[in-house]
Amino acid sequence: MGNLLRFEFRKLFRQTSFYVCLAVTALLAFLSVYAMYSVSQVVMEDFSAAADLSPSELAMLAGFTQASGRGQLITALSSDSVTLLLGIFVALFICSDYTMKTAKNIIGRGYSRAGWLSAKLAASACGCLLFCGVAMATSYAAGTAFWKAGEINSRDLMLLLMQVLVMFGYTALFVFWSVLLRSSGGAIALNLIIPMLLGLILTVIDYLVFKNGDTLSKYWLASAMTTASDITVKSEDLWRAGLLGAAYAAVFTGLSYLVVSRRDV
Amino acid sequence: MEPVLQTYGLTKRFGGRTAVDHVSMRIDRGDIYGFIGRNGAGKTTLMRMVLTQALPSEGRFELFGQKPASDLQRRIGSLVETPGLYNNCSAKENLLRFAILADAKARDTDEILNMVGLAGTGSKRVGHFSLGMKQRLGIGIALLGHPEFIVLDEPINGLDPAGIQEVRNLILQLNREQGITFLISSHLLDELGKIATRYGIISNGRLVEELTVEDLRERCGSKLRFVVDDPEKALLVLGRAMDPACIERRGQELLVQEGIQTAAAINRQLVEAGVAVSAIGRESGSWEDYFIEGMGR
Repeated sequence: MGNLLRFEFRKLFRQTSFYVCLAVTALLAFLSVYAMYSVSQVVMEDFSAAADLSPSELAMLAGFTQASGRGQLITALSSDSVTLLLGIFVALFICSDYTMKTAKNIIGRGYSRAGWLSAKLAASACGCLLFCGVAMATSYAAGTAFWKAGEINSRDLMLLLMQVLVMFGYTALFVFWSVLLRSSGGAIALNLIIPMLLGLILTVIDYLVFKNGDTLSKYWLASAMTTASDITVKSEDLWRAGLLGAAYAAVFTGLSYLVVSRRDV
Repeated sequence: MEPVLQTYGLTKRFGGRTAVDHVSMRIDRGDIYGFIGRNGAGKTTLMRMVLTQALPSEGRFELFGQKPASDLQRRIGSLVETPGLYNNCSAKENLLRFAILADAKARDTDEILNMVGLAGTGSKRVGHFSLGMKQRLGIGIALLGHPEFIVLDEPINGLDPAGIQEVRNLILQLNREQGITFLISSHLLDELGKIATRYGIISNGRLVEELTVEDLRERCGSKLRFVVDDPEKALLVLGRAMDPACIERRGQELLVQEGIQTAAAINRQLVEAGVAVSAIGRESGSWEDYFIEGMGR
């Protein structure tokens, strides 16, 4: 297992696409904060000239005046861009051994399929952590530069931890599609489409069948991420979001094992 | 002799099609086992099962006389079908990556690059290599970690004549100097004939025959050819002097297995019996024909 981990981590840190995706993640995180800053400048200018403001306008104004690096840090992963880039990276990383036919060299040297998948999952999880870290650090730095740092407390750290668990759920889902399809193109397409499509389908079913907005969709990862990015969320909801991420990670890891162990390479 | 690989009724089915059908074969330490069969005969599938890349539908195999296990599998190097390479990396980086898996030292990679003639490729990406260069690198990867048994599927595919000769010499050198056992499949029977010590013929997924070089020589041995005016009488004369099974009639010709009697002695007997001999020659048995016949069975 040690050899497999060394092998996969060497591959990870020497894969150009990994650094490209990380750089794009940082860029999008910065642009997202910058866009919010630009909007806040315009809105505050307009609102300061206005004689009276509606309650919603006042709330928006309050939001902008309270903006900080801390706020950006906590909402850094809630944008779809990190998830999408993670989906692209995981598909490229996992499928490379299938498309370049190097999987047979690994299995042919006596490594088990389970060990191989475990090493891939470990490297993908590490990649996921770095994606989260880059998005969070960039958002925090940009938010601090545009507004102020803001004080980070232990509850904020708990929020971030639960967000990372949700991202692990996404990672396991992306790994599953990649080992199932074995083609980078197909896996990228599915990794981009599935998160959006599944959330949409669950919402439609909620409205059509349950006549409300969140009976099923609250069990989807995007909903868990929204919950874990809310500073005012209740502790029990926060824990539920984190556990949901962990459950997704466990289920899709199991499914990936089933797929890998039963197929030829 | 210690068996390096022994299969027992190894079978692989893809849906309703049987690619490998109850193959039981044995490869001993030090063998260069030439695996011969037409395209789709089941050679590659059998190799892939032995390397655990494909899961058998039925049957089992042993490596080095034991049940297959990770540590035994680690003693095998392989190149099956097209070489699995990271195209966006250099040859050296490819070797360094796979050296981790083969428990090989990083410094061994330079020696292997030299061995397979890729020492001068520097940082050139493997994606820009020719087919022959990729094949050499694939062989290099198979050599990592000082394997005791190497499985090569069509190893000289894409190589130029000089490359073919180099690979042939490398295989012979590794076999003689380091005692490495080889399982090699090739369509180029002539090339296989220059190195193999044992052969296995596979046809439609079934192992038709296993034979040593000595068996092959015996079956395809040279024959003396006599063109005579009365082959019936000649058969009677020679049939009294030797085992009739060693004589074959082909029209006006009689083919006599070489080594039983000299051509001069046979000629004298025929002439003394009143059979006119108009020509005497030697006919070599074609082992390629033998294999082609076997593959077609």
